[in-house]
Amino acid sequence: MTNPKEPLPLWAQLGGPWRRTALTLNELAAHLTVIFGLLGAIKLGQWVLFFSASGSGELIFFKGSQFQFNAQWFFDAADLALLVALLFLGVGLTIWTAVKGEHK
Amino acid sequence: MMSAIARPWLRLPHLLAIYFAIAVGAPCAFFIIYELVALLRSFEGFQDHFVSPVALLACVVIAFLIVPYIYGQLTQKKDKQETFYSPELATELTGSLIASLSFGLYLREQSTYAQMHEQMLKQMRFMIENAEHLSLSDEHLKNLQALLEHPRSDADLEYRALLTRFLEKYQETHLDDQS
Repeated sequence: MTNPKEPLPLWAQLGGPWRRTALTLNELAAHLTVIFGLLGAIKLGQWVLFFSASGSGELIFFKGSQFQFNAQWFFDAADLALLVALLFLGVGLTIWTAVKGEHK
Repeated sequence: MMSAIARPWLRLPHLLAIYFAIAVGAPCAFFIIYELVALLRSFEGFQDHFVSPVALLACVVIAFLIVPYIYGQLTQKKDKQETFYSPELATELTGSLIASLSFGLYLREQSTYAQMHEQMLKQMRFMIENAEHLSLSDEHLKNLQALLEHPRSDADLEYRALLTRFLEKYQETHLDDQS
């Protein structure tokens, strides 16, 4: 039975920060994989929608006499929401991993 | 160490579901706000937008499906998140995918309609510019006048205004010719 107040061996102390860094980068990599995958899927969907509907890069939606609504705004909103979600959820969990050593 | 490395990757389907739900939910929220603002504006007399109740309802339903799901995913016990696959997750992902696909198809339909409308406006402007060179049959004129009497939506206001201008100009120029 080891004493919990007893200091860790030198190799464990030296390896601790590297272990935390690896785990943190691993957590971040998982989030970035999902984010880049989704951003790619959104871009692909946008490309298919725009070019199948209009054959050009512009898609006007709900054109009124004083105002027009571009379908591009939906995709911009999705991109922005993903980046904000990454900022809060991804970065939050990554910092949590860095602080706690591993996210439990 | 290996289990700690594997943990984020085992949670990947859940992360995917959360981020995907956010990506679908944000435009829906954006659309709901836009439609509500348009609805309020139309009450104030700005008749420049046609509010689509079906799309609005669909977005509200999607938002009500997605928000509790994200909340549930973020607050559920961590040991459950380590499950690689669950029927609930598959259902949520499928639901979000169907919602986003149907929304994309709806966008496509509406955009096609908007493009057709734009073409009609262009054609009408061309007809106004060249009214004196055009020769329309009585039946064609009657059909055009009938279009004025049956407005379909606020988006037709501009078309109706152009059509009125064309008919006036056509009758003026052709009356001059007849006299």
